[in-house]
Amino acid sequence: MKMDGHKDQSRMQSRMNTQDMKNIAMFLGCVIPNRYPAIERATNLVLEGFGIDVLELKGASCCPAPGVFRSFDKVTWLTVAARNIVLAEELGADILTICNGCFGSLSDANLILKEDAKLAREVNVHLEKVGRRFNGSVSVRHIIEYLHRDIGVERIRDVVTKPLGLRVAVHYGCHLVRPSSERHLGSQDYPVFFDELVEATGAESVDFPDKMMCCGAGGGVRSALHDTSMAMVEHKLDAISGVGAGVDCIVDACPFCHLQFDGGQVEIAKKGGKDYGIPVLHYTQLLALAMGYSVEDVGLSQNAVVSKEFMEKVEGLQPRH
Amino acid sequence: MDAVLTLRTQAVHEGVMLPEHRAVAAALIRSGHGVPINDEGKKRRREMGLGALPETVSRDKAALDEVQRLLKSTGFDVLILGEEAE
Repeated sequence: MKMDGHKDQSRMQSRMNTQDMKNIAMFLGCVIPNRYPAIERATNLVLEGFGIDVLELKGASCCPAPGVFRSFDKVTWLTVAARNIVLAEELGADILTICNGCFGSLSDANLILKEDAKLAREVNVHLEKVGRRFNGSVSVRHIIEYLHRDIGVERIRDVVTKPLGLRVAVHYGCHLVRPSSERHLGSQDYPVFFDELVEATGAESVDFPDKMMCCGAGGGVRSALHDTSMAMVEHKLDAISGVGAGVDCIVDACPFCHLQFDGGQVEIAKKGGKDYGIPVLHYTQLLALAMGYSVEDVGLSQNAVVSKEFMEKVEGLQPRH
Repeated sequence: MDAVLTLRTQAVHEGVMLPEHRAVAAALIRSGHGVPINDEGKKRRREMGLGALPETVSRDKAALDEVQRLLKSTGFDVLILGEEAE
C-alpha cells in the first residue's frame, strides 16, 4: 500500500525514539504462525511502522502451552520454555510474545527459573545435553504491555492516519493480567491499559458484563471439554452482543482467544444457535488498520467470521488530514 | 492453583490423562508444536506473503531434534507415549 507523508513522518519520528530500546526477538508460538498467520503479518506491519527492528527467534518451539504442559510435568514445561528463552539470551534480546498463552508460559517460567536456583540447576542439566544453558538474562514481554509501556498511548495516537470510529469489545484474556502480582499491570479485575490502546486508534471501547471472564479456550478446556468451552464462549458472545448499541468487532490479545471467538461463532451457528456474525481482530490487526493498511493487508478474510459490512465500514473511514 | 497443578501432575504420572490432552502432548513430541502446521496453514501463510513454513522448529530439523532430545531427557516421551516412545 502507499504510505502518505504524515505516515512517513510518524515512522521517522518513531524510529528515532526507538533507537535506544533493547533488542527484541519475536516469539511466534503455534496458533499464530500455523492457523492465523494474518496476525503475524499485521504484527510485522505495526512494529515496522514504529521503526522497531525485530529479530527472528529461529528454531523456537511451542512455548509450551501453560494449560496442558505445565500441569502434566513441571520440569518438562520449564525445560522447553527455558530453551526458547535461551534462544533469545543468545541473541541478547528480550522476547516479544503476541499470545497470552506464550506470555504466560515464558514469563512465568523465566521468573521461576530466575528465583529458584535448584530448579534452574535441574533444568540446566537437561539443557546442557543439547549445548545450552539458562542464564536468566532477558525479559519476556507481551505486545500489548510492550506497546503500552515502551511505545506509549501518545505515540500510538501519532501513527494513526485513519481513526477508527468503531465500537469495540475488548477481550483481555487470562494470562495477560494474571498472576497480577507478577504482571504489574494494575487491577486484574478492572484493567484499563488495553482499552487505552484500543481507544488510541480512534475506536470506542464498549463495556460489557463479565468482560474479564475467560473465553473458555485455555487450560485444555477447548481440546478436551469442548461443550463446556463452547458454553463459556457463548456466554461471552451473548454479553457482547447484548450491549445497547451493539459492537462492530471483538479485539483480543491472543490467538487462542481469537480462535475461540472466531471459530466458536461458526460452530455455535452450525449447531442451530445464534449467528452472532461479530468480526474478531487481534489488536495488531486493529492498529494496522488505523495506521492506514487495508483489510486485505491484515488478512481479515482469513477469519472464520467474515463480515462484508464491517470491511466496507473500515474501508469507508476517512483518513486524518 | 499450586494444589490443582500438583494433583493434576500426580494424576498424569499415574497414567490418568484425557485422550485429547495426550494427543496435544504427543503433537509436541512429534512436531515441536502443540498446534502443528497443516496444509491450510501453509496456504494462509503464502496468501499473507509469508514463507509456507514459519521460522520455528517447523523448518529447522536440527532444532526439532534438539527439542525431542530434551523431551527424552526429562522422560516426557515415555510419560506420554509409554512403550511407543523411541
